[in-house]
Amino acid sequence: MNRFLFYLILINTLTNMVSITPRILIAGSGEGTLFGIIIAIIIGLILTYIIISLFSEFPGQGLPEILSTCTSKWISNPVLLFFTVTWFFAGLTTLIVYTFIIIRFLTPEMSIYIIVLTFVVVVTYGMLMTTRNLLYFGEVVFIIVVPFILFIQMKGYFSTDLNWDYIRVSVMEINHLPNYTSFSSSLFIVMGAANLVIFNRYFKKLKKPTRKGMSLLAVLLTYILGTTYFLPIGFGGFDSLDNVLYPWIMTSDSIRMKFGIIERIFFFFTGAFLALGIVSMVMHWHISLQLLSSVIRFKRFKWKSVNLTRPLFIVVYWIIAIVATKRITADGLFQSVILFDRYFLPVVLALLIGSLLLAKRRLSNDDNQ
Amino acid sequence: MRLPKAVSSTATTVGGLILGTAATEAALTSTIMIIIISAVAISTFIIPLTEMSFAIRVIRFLLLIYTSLFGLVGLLVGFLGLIMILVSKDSLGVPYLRIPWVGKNDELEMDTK
Repeated sequence: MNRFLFYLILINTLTNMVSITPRILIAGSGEGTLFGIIIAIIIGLILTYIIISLFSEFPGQGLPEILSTCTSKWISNPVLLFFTVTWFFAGLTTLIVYTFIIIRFLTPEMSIYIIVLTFVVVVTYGMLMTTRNLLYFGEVVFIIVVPFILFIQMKGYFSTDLNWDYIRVSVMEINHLPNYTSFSSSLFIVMGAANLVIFNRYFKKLKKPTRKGMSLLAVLLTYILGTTYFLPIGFGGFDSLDNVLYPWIMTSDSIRMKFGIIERIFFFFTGAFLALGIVSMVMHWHISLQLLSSVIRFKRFKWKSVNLTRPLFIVVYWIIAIVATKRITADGLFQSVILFDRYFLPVVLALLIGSLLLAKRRLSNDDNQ
Repeated sequence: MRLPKAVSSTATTVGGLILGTAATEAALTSTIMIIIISAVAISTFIIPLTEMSFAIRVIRFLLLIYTSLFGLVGLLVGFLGLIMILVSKDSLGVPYLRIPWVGKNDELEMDTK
């Protein structure tokens, strides 16, 4: 398997460690989250395999190109617009979560507009980069950041404050039936391969996933999901963690580096995950922008031979981001992420796989004739 | 360095130590500021090429502006923006920050050109 595929999947997984997802998982910890996570890993791996092997039938083509050659506009345009909204929402939740974290923990007296602007300026530059450079950007940031994250996690696992009894208690809850909310939100963590809808344009030699690659992916995803769920429980306790809004921030704040330059590991942690969050945000919004501009393109809307369609979309993105961040409450964000995970995600995956299967059938029919 | 060798050590001592202490004692700057500035001045010596040090000087100002506008988060995000700019550069079709883990043929399609 190509290593860039691993980056796509793992960046999506790691970014969600600090977002709303651990909160959702821990909220259902007495009602079958663990079983849900196990099922989500299995189903997620199967879906990843299906998506990658379907995309390997169309080397060098993104979803817009595949759909435009194989289906009519009446089918492809609504699908692409729906995907645009989905990916935009995925990027937006990351933005809002990080804005909330920063305004709560890092710079409390800064205006919320300025924090959103900090992100949005850089993210806009990233959205306008070419897709290939975005992959390299992801790789570089991933390599810089992952040692920090591993260090923090090892520090957490070997810490004396970690109470393994709480983890044992949470493992005992495996006898419950799987919880749909935690299943779908862990499925969202696992499904980074769906980003191929645009990134497949640069995978010209995408092969079907090998057994080695899939088993490596399974081990990594299990480790990350397990850490996401168990480490906060080990630090915060099984029952008392229900009231914590950001379990991972609390966890990183309970780890100390006694002889380090900076004693609070929280700053390392936030910095590392902020970098990953920006990469994920850039990727999601880049995909959203590409999908949107493949559907809507105003030919007349020009200024000195520069087509202004994309800048217009970007301005719309900015306005939505700023208004949404100002308006939404923490509880509203929580509810909307649950809504997204519960209802949007299965529809998106079904649509993606369905349209790819349709395109594949058309392709093989054309070959036969 | 456009100074004769004998003068240079004296100049740096006077400039670094005495002016630094004087500025702190006169309450013009804080001590941590002096420490940071001298650490920056020393660490610029590790840049091997003159052109690179010019480039880094310019970039440092951009980063300073972004940081003073947006605070601590601005520093982190600005650094990421710097990586973005570097990633978008390429020489003869090969990106600057391509990490050669494997042979070129296994890479993305664009690299084999």
